[in-house]
Amino acid sequence: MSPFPRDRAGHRDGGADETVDAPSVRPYMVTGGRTRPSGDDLPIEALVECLVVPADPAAGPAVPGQNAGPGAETRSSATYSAPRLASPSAAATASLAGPESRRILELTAGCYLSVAEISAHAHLPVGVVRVLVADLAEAGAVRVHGLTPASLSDPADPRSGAAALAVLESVLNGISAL
Amino acid sequence: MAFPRSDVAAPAAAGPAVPHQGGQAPPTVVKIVVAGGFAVGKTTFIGSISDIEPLSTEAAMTEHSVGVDDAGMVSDRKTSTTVAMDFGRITLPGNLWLYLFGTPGQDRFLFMWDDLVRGAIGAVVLVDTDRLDQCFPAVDYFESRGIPFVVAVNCFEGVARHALDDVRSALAVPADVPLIYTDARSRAATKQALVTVVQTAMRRLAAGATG
Ligand SMILES: Nc1nc2c(ncn2[C@@H]2O[C@H](COP(=O)(O)OP(=O)(O)O)[C@@H](O)[C@H]2O)c(=O)[nH]1
Ligand SMILES: [Mg+2]
Repeated sequence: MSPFPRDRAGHRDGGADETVDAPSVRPYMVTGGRTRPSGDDLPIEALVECLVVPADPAAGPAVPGQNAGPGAETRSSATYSAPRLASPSAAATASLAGPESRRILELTAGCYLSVAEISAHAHLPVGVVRVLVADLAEAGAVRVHGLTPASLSDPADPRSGAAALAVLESVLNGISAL
Repeated sequence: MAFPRSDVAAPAAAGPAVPHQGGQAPPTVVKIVVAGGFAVGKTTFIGSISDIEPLSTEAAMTEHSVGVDDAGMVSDRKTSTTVAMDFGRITLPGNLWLYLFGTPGQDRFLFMWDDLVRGAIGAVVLVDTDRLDQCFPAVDYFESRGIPFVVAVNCFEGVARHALDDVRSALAVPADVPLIYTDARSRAATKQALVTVVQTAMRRLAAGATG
């Protein structure tokens, strides 16, 4: 038997259903109903680096510039309180104060983590994580790495072809050595 | 607002930065997309080589915004479905992280592939020759966008049921698209499929640079 050919004119929908019912609408509330404001072009593989130390929620709300809770004196680094935006929209300010933003900072404290991994670990849709990470980056609470694809050449930059090729070569050698 | 095209964040308004991973530079991130029909072995393929247990996340968000009415109720019910997307990660020497992202397998989710595929090295299209038609959308997608891809026939019972030449003519893919047999459960086979994708991307890049 030979497999039947690809019909370029159109194809049938394949197989069983892969959709799952969303558990709740809560994630959309987190971002104040925003699904595509900022963070639109944040790649799912972009790495997020936390720049602050999340405060212990049990210690109560942290006050910027002040130590919160026992042991805080010995901590030289910043204690996380809701980061401030230069010109915050109400929705953005609310999202920064929420437990989801805190969770993102906890997950990224001390290790680089991709948007996709944050989404999986925090049980938040990728779109929501994008919005929250963009808000956190704007507030200076996180830094985002890998915004430009390392394996692609940029037509506007003649030297980027060689750089991309070098990255691909490292990937090739790395996989081959696994 | 467009996300700033810079890897340098604004000065930390919330205080000084904490030491990060002993000052280790951020890894260079790259990704390869694993596509194909439902239950063709995408998650198995990713899991056979990933350093982390394959993760799953809800990747789909509808294009429109969801309204919240005065009573705090969401006013738009259209967003009641999400799509599970599986992915894994491989740490490579030279501070490189390779992500493998599995696509949701149906035509009606093609709109979210752009997002997954943007910036990818290339793609593996997994094929079950008993359900060959299920890979057509993926083949069409990568072909039409000029994204380097490899067609990998997953040999479910450990046997090749069809000759690669037959598969090639059924798929109508040009000779510069590699066709290989694979076994999604085998780390060695998965490794070979990924190597082939990267080699294909390198050939493309080199050809583009000289031609
Ligand atoms: N015998 C065999 N089973 C496989 C192979 N690849 C996948 N499977 C099985 O096929 C089913 C679907 O695989 P999965 O990776 O979840 O497919 P996905 O929907 O494309 O992610 C699972 O039960 C796998 O264990 C293979 O190469 N050989
Ligand atoms: Mg799967």
